[in-house]
Amino acid sequence: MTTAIQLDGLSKTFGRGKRRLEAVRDVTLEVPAGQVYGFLGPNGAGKTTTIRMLLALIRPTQGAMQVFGKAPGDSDVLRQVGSLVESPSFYPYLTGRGNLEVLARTANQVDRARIDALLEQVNLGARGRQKVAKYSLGMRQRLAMAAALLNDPPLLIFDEPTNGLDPQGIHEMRQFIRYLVDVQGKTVFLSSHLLNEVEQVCDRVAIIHRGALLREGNVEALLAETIRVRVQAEPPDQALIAIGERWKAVQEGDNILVEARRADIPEIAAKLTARNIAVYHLSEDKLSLEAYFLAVTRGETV
Amino acid sequence: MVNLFRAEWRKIVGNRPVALMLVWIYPIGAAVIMALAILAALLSEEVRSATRNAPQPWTAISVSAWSAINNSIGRILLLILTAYLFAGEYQWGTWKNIIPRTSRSRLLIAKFIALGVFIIIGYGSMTLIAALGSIIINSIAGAAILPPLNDTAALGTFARDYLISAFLALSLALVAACFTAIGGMATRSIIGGIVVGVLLTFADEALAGVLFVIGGLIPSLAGLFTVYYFMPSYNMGNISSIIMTGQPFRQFTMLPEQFTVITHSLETSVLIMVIWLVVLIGLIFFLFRRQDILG
Repeated sequence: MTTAIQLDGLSKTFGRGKRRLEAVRDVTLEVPAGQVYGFLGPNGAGKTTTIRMLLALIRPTQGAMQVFGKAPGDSDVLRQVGSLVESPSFYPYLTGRGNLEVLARTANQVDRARIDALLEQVNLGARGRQKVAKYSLGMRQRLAMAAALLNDPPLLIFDEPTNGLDPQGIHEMRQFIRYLVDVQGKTVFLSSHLLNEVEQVCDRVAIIHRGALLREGNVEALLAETIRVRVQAEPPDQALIAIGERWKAVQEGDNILVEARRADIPEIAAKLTARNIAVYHLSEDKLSLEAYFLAVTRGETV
Repeated sequence: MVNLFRAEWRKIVGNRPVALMLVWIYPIGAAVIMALAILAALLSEEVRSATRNAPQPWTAISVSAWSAINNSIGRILLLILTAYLFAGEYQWGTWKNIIPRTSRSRLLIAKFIALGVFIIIGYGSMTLIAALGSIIINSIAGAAILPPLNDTAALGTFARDYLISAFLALSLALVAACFTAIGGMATRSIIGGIVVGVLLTFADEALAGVLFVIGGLIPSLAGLFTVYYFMPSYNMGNISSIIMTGQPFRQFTMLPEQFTVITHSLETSVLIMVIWLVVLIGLIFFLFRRQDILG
């Protein structure tokens, strides 16, 4: 499978002395082409700094990056990447269409028909001749999406693309991102702090926290890696003691919730029956990405 | 590069108040002044008589119009235009949209070209309107049109003087523009660019006076005055003086003996100016290529 993005030991430090801030620390990851890759982390985790390095807006302190096998900033790479970085910014005195024309000219790829089509696609067709100063945040975000797609790039880098959108707009944006990958075959690198967004849209995910990469992998595989086992047994206090010898467990009503892997289930059952504890119910609860993310970022073993 | 230049053009011309105040003001201002002068010539015999008695050569009016770029108002407008071009992207947060689309060096080159084109269009049209107005006024007054429009030798001299004046004005303006661009990029703001541009331009022009005072008060430091002979304002003055009068530039006709008097040749002054421009433009490229775009 082709690799769209490769980061190798990427680090960025701002300032010196007491003002020194390690925004990104030794991040290594590979983004396969043809997928939505989620870059998940709380605000200030280093997501935007990483994206800015990928777009040649920030120089890394250390490490290497490749986009489709070439350094970011290479003229071939520039043509293959579309981006939407943080809050959308445009020339307020130009129309939406005028802004897209300026960006198209900057990229030396002026196609007025495509500009019109993109404005229609992001529901700004009727407002394209209005000055951006009069746009709402949601309209600017949609204009930024059109700007990212201007040169029909195979790789799209979106930083918090649903910021400022209403619920309907968020839903449409997520569908659109999937459409770009599933139908048009593009690769999307999507940074977000919204767990449900990443869970709904992404194929793979990397979790970044305080500048460091904590986990990376296929979303389903990551969640399957850890399950919670729900046990109903009699007597419950003895069952809790028996299970607690090996796993972290808590009692919740009639249930005992055990942090364990799927492969541990037979062993839990064997341990309880060996002590003559009657087992009435034994099932797995899959973690949501939210629970997984919170566990990872709190430094818990999952 | 043509598309990049057209993008820069759109950014300035698309902002009508800015384009009006910083670019179109020159031809419009010249047209208004000439229209009023023509009206006065049409209505007043006194004006016509004065024009007949002392007809102004249209060539001199046209050539001298270039000096407006380096007077106080012209300089400030130039600095604002430069700051707007180079620092506006920080103000609007638009670098993040355009840097991922082309190289930083090409973006800067396009901005320098746009600045040059706007100045040439603004001032060039102003000088042409001034020349045309002068010819019309002289015609209305029945005065001689000097030099005659069919005098090819005079037209040749005019073309030479016009190009030299434009070159000198643009060179000095480019130095001020570089100061402003550096300030705008370092402070990441239009206002910051203008303030730095004004301060450095003023420092360049005021340095001679400051060093003169220091050398006068502390004779052992009089040697510092030599620095003045390597500043842009002295060397542009020297180039202009040698070309126009054949004499080297002398801002100070009488200097106390502790000061060293240096007279640069035309070639030396040109070389010093080239070095200044190469260093300043190089510094702009160096700063921008290394700068992290955070906004």
